[in-house]
Amino acid sequence: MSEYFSNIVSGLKSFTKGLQLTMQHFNNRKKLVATLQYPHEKWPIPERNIGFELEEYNVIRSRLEVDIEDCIGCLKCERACPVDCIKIETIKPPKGGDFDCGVTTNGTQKKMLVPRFSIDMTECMFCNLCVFPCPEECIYMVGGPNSSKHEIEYEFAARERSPLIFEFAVATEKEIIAAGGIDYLNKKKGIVPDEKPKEVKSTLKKTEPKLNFEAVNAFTDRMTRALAKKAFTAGARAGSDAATVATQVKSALVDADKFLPEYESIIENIASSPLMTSAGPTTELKAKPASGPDIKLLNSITDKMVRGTAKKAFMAAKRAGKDGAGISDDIKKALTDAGKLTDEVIAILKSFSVPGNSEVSNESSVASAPDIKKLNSIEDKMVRGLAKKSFMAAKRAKSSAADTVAHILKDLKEADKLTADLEDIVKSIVPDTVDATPAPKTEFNLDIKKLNSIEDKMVRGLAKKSFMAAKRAKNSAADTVTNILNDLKEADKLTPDLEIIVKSIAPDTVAATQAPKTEFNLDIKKLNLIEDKMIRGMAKKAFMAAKRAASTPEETVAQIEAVLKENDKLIDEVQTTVKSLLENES
Amino acid sequence: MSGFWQATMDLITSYGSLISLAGLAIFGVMAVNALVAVYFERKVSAFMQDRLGPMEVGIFGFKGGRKFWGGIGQTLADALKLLTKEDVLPDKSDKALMILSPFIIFVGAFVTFVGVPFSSYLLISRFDIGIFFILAMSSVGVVGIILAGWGSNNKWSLYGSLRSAAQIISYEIPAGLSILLVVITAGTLSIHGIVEWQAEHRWFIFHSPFAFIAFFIYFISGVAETNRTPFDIPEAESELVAGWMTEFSGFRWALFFLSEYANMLIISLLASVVFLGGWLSPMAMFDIFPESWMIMDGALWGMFWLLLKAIILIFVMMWFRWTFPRLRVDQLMYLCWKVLLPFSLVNLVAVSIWELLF
Amino acid sequence: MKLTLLEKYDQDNIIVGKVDELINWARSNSQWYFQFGLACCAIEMMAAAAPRHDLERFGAMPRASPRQSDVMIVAGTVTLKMVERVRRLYEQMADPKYVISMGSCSNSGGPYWQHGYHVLKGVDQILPVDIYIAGCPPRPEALLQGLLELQKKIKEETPLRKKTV
Repeated sequence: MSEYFSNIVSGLKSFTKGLQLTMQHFNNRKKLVATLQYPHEKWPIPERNIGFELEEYNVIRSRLEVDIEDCIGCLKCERACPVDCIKIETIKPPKGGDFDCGVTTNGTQKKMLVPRFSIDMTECMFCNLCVFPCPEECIYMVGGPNSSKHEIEYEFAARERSPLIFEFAVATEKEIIAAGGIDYLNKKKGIVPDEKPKEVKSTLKKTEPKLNFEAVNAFTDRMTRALAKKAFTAGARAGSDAATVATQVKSALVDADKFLPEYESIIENIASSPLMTSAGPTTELKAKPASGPDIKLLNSITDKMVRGTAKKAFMAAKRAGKDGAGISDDIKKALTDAGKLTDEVIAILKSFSVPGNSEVSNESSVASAPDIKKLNSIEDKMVRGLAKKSFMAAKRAKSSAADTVAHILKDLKEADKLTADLEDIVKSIVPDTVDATPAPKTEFNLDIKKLNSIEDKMVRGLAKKSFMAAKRAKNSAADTVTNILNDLKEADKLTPDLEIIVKSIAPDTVAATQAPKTEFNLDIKKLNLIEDKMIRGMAKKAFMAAKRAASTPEETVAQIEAVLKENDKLIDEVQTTVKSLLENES
Repeated sequence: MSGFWQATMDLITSYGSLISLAGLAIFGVMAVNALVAVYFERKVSAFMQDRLGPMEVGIFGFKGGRKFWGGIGQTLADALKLLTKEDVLPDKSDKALMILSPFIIFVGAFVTFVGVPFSSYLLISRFDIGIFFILAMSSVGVVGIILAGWGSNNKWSLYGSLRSAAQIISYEIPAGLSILLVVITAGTLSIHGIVEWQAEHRWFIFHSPFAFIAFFIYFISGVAETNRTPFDIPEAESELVAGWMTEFSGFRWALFFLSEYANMLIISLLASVVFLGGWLSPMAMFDIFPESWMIMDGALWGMFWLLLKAIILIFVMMWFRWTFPRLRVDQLMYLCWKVLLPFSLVNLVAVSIWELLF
Repeated sequence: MKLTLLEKYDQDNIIVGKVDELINWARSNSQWYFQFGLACCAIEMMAAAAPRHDLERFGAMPRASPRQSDVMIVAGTVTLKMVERVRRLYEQMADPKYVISMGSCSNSGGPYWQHGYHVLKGVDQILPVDIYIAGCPPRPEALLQGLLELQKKIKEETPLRKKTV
């Protein structure tokens, strides 16, 4: 009984206490209301700093942004992405061509053109992992510590998914073609027939002329150069004239305590040279280093240490805009300083001073280049290793093809591994023997896909197997066909239908069947007008089947209609839609 | 039977316009009450939770304030939206019951207003058995709730409706006993009689310590009868989705909403009439105020005082709602049968003795 | 030829236009969302409803029953097992109904879009999504902005006019 009353008393107590609490909040609402009225006022976003300590672990979940001018196409961010929402495609301009990819703000020479850099923000999981590997710091989450580069943006709800897939690449079609990416373009057009128009933002960027960093690049110290570039870019973007920019660069350097008296001339140079480069001068400027001496020549230096020092000096000299002779002088000086100058190096450096020379020697070595891949047919691992080693040694020594073969044979003989077979293989690496083999290979243009029309899985497998065997044996087309037919006969699976299919793979028949294929230009998109999902699916399936069978347009339509009729789905509306496939034809 | 219809027709022909006027007035009161009370409740709940509540919706661009009391058009928008929403009748439900039940609940609240006064002159009908009528009519809604739960053909709805019925019927008893105490003392079932008794003596809440307790018992039971938190197990969101309202949408669900807030108003009005002196001003209770102040007891002032008391009680109901967590079913029944009922019985006896002694 | 009233005034007409505006105003300002969280995004949805951001300022309050809610915020990973339920809950909602796809998982499968054998690759495969909100999970502000975007979308509707086929 007493418990009953004590329960009631405690109930009343907690009752009043609870009411007091809420009333306090109601009365002190002016002070306690924590709401920030979002569209009118915004909550400050905390700084981002990821660490593994609790107080350091703090990510702002904002959009990813890419400074595409700084991207060198190294794909590190793409590989770091745990969900693969970053998609980058790169084109490497051909060696010796005059296409230049530009320089990043850090002064790195770009070697790739990036025609596609898309980030799908609907797939992104905002983990920030792509940011760390970037060597140029060009991919980053907006806001927080990067708010100077791009203000924070985390509200970008859209009514469709496509605006949430951000495309950062700005390379135009012209640029891609200039960089030798014509294959890339064709391939892309084949896969994605109607390319989506790029964002307005990116078109804006496209029109912006490139900054002329030539004068700024004269700074030799890395840190100083970066600082100067930053100030230069900021000034140039703000639309100041060259003289103001030059003073800005100077003051930035002075602020950073990096200004030396000898920089005065560079600053003057900046003030006198134009801020932006038009298209003409850029290519001229960029063409220079390409036609200059090649750093790869230095690879023939055997000593690692010496090679490193030489390359460093090479890069420094190249950045300073020196010609071949100047570079070789620089390298010589650097090596003497390090006490590593040998006769070998001097010989290599000599080729630098005469640019034509290096090219010629390069060409000859390329022309007679023996093919190391031929050595792969050596079965014994040990022997293959040995052969390759001596091959590489010979290559580095720039031996001719015959010398290389002799060298390898000598090495193998020394190791007591030389057999008659081996000798044949080694000899085959000489280019003129190489020439003979690819010829029939190119002729072997039978289409294995033709075999896909075989319905029985087992039979198809068999046919493909013997096809591949024939291909490997480099048989002619006719031989291949007979081979396959024989194999099928042996397996007791040969029917007349099959014979026709197999025969169709031969080139002349291929040509015959391909002819109507090119004419098959019906538009499957017309079928999208069918409203019912089921029917649409069926019609499209039939369409594709007809397309694969290379039917004529009339046949295609008839086939689709037959399929629909079978399934009792051929209503008038659908029929007109299917018939409309033909209309375009006329 | 023909006599009955004849009488009804006569009534309608002679008093039709009056009846429809009264009906319109009641509906207007209910609608305005719901519009204002829902906005009020959303604001009160927001402030108690350190939020702001509706802020962005105004009428003709007027939002009512930028810092605190904004969003005055909110409930109007809600009501319009509910009217334009699809009226879903599930395939396997009992469609007749589903259509009927919201109207039964609505009519229950609607008819109760016939006996509820807004001031000594402002009321639809002056019964001699006013209190009895109100208590009886406010229980009609239970029928609608059970029909709604049954007709929905949904397990949550059925659970919710049966819980609701059990709860409302249980809490009728302590509420009725507490009011019975007043009826015994005043010796009348008429609302005017009770208020006149209070004018002559004092407010009932100050009649005796037992009447004081009786007021709280009545008020708590009243909150439980309107199915409001902490007694909202019939529509407990975490267990029963939305209880007996689960399958209702659009306009018919809006009727439920309307009735709930109408019931709140009825309970508060009745509590203030029976225990808090009705339309009497607080000053009339004491002799210390000068005679000139007694003007404040006229017809309009009476309405002001009555509505003020009712609004304070409605606020307390909201205060309860945003303070207490929901009771369990067994706790709910424990509170009714083991706490409130014994206390109200003891109260009844004690007040009778008190009346004999003093 | 006899025209119905709707056909007769199926133009930019003052009366219909104003009523359209009124209904759109009511609908857009009273988006009661369905209390329906599937994964971590639901936490941010709660945060958006909590005092700091307070969804109720826009008239959006949570409803537990699909019949009474106007917008379904798909907040989280839609597993294949859940697909059927999500779809059914959507169908139980009364018209006009809207869908907000919140976060990467419901936009496209998110972290599971490549190798998630158990996850639906985007809730738009089963529901007509009105608003996509990017984020993993989105900040509450992003959800609020999504709601505002939805309000804009609703205000562009013409509920009284005949829909063109």
